[in-house]
Amino acid sequence: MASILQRGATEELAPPVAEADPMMDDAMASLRSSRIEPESTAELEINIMRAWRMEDRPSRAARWLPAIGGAVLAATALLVMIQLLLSAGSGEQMPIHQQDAAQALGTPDLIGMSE
Amino acid sequence: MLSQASPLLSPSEIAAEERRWVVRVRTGDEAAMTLLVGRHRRRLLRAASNILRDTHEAEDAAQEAFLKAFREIHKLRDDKAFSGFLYRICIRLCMDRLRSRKSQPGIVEGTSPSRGTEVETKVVVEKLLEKLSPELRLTLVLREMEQFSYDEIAETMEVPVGTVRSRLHAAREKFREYWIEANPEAV
Repeated sequence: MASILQRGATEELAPPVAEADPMMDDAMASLRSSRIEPESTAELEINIMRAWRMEDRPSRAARWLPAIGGAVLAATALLVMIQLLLSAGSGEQMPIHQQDAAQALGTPDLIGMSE
Repeated sequence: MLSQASPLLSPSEIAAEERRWVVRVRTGDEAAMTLLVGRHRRRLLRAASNILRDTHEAEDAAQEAFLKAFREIHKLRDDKAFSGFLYRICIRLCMDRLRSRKSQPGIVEGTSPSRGTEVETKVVVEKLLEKLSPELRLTLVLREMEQFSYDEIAETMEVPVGTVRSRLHAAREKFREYWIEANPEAV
């Protein structure tokens, strides 16, 4: 019973809601018929990946830049440290070496190390 | 949701597969990027073509959209939402292109699309679409040409569904009005 009433009510309401508009139908039909169906080729895929690689190259380099910079700094620090250690190590023997060098070259001992 | 259906996989399998690809793209995996491009390129290109009414410009927009999506993949919080993310980017790019176009009032008088050829109808429709604002045009194209659901349009355009409904109503009414103007003999 209720469903019949409901159906009746819906049927009464339906016509004004679904009022046909031939011009609107015509306009929408023309719109739908003008739909573009582009040919999607693999070329687009190739272009995208090529562009991505081109774009990614500097960013990839930028990604490695801090690591490269760090490595360069570490290597420089290591070299400086080695040099300091070597010079410190050779510094203990300097008087002897300097004496030898001075004697060999026949240069005057200015700082008086030979005494 | 917006991806091209694969005949061999169920929708849940397609979604799971895409999620795996997105995870790989986050690590810079180019093979996964190619797979995502292959899955979405057709529909994305078609949507861009229908919005911009220019296939060359649409190709540029689609390419730009893919690149931007990969570049900004870190902004995507949910791996499941890639297609929506990609379409949103593409639609925004198309909107920017539409807005940057100079307004060219369409000369539609004297044409008779109802009796004309298919090409003539297309030309008239293009001119009428150009008269709509980018928002109305986009809503109308996504609904009528791309058959997006209201929810999909709302998600893509980042507006509430109510706004989609009102815009669609306004867009249809305006298009109808312009259609009648272009075809006075059809009334």
